[in-house]
Amino acid sequence: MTQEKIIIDVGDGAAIPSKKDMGLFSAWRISFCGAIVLLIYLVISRPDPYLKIVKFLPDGIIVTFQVTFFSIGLALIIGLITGLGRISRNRIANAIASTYIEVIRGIPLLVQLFYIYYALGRFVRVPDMVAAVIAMSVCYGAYMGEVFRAGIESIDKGQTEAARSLGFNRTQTMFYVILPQAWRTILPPVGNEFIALLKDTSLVSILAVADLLRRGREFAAESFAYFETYTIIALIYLLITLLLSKLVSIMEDRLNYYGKF
Amino acid sequence: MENSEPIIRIENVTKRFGHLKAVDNVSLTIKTGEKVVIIGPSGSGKSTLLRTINRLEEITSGRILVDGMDIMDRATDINRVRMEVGMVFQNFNLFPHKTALQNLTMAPVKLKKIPRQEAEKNALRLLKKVNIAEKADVYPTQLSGGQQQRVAIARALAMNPKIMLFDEPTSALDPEMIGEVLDVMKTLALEGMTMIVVTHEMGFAREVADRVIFMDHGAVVEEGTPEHFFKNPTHDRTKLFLSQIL
Amino acid sequence: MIRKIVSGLLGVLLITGFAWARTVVIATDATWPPMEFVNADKEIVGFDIDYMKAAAKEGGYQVEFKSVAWDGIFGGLEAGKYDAVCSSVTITEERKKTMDFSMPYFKVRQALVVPKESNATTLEEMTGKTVGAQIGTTGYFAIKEMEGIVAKSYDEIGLAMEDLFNGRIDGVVCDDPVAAQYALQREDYKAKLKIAAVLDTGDEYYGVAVKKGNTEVLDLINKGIQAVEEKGLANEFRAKWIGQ
Repeated sequence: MTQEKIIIDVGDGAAIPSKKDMGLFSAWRISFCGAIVLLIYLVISRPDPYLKIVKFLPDGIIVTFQVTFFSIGLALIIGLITGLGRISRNRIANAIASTYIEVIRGIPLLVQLFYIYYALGRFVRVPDMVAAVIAMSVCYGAYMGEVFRAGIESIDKGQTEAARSLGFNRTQTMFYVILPQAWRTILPPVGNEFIALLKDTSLVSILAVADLLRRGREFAAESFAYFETYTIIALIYLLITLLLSKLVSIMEDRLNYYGKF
Repeated sequence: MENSEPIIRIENVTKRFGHLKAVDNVSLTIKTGEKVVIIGPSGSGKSTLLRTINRLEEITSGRILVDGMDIMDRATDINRVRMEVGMVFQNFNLFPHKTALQNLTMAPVKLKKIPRQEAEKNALRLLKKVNIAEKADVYPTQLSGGQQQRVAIARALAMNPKIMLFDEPTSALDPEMIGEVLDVMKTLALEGMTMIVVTHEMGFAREVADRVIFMDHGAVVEEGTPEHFFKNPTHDRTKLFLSQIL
Repeated sequence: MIRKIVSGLLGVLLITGFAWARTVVIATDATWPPMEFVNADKEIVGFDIDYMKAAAKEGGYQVEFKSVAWDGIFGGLEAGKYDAVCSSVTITEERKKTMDFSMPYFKVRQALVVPKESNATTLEEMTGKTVGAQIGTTGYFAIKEMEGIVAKSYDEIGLAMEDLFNGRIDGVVCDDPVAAQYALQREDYKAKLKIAAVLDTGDEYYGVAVKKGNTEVLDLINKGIQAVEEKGLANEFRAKWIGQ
């Protein structure tokens, strides 16, 4: 019961704001407020082209959100199954999960996107959004699988024994006892993956999915306002990412409500 | 002891960990209502033997019958057996993400499909019994070791088991908390619960046990009533052990 | 001493003399067959390429081609990364605001490519359907203007054609030589695709784009185009790359 809290540090997303970092001049606040102020300033000071750009983008933002949201959901499920496969005593399940992780981590996401959309498109006709979500979640599921495995393994063996001795079977033990606790260890690195995933959704624009980046590129290609368009695109991505990192931090807080253990 | 039916039969049980024989050809019969205390030096296999009874350790050979069910038989639903066998651990192993009350209600609600209200009522009664009703809504991390262990005992009792296994229940406790846990166990014993206790608390063994078993190197060396055991043990190894511990 | 200065000056003259055969760096998005594309030998080839080479020869300058993705190609011109863009660029009023164009050297119209089984004969009949085009092209602008059509932009026209071939979208709009290349020439595509219509968006003219105010390069290119047209070389290239 006195085991130390294990921190799995896999970070390539924006930093999740720490609870200790509540000061007015925290990095999160500076970035967030700065981005908003800059965005508003640009739109007001030069409505042409900035306001035009901002007006052009909303449906792209929605698509980015959709891809992110569905991919996160599906990646969590894939990650959980993979993580369970990795710790499974069933050798076949274990081998499948391990191989999947190995293969996916060895192929760039961009290549996976092309592969699922164009290469497999010759055989299976999936709509672009579906292809995008599948590719994103298959890729991130592999990374999350490792996080889940580490999270599950971080839970004391005594917890399993206590649950089993009460009569819970393996599955019930996992879902009622282990995962609810593992979630605390899992959330920070998974939150990082969420944010990285959100940023990587910009890659789906190569599938001609009309996401935020593609809408921006369309605007720029027609207006030639490259500097202005990509400035706005960058600011919007930054804002969304910061909001998501805040959300993850709030969720972490919620999970901490029953104290340290 | 009114009822002398054996509720646990351990027949020629051996448990190996690789080359090590943790339990070496042990046979034991425990009757309904009997209180058995198993003592022995660390590494003697006493905890392992205890854990084979609800199959937390799978035996290598032999046979174990609990309430007539062969626990190694494929046809036996081990989870049903475990519902009848409560277990208390050295490290309490309370579920930290649940309150004390929820620790008690979880298994009855999920496994026995007992209505939540009824389960909670029963849980409160049990928490009262282990003198900790006021901490019902507190998370385990906010409880002392002794309090946690009493909740853990209540959690096992919430499933209404026929047998209670105690695996060194006081070894992880600060000395001043040992008494409160032993008191709860004594009450339980007085109510006629079948109990198997692995412990170093000789006072408890002397006061509560119907039978004391001394194990060493995986085997039962000597068994008998507390009077026999503490007054005139026959084996040298028992004598040596008792002289070290008392 | 004087001798050294003289020889030095001579050297400078010599170098500038070589440089007199000015090299014009031309950006092209080589994903637009048959106008500009990369062949099996990894060379950039096509109608535009031959035309520019001929123009350079006539105009007495050198050309060098650089492969650049379409949706950033004018940004690079603006930033001075190359001297000109010759990549099936239609001369439009909008584009003229930010860059200068040579005289027109080729006339195209927009064509709609659809699957063989489709009955559509005009763009209007594609209402409610998804039509693809390359990002930032006049073809894309045309479908985006149409009410009721779901316009989808692709990085390359080949990817749009592939999606059409795989049945993910209902049509593709692009310049007619390109449409012909995919729907009439390529073995796998021509079995499944056809040109449904040449759109009534009017004639479009290709021009070579240079950075606004870069008259030096513009003059060189115009001189070359003029000469190629006078000699009638364009017909030769048309026959070689486009056929009809």
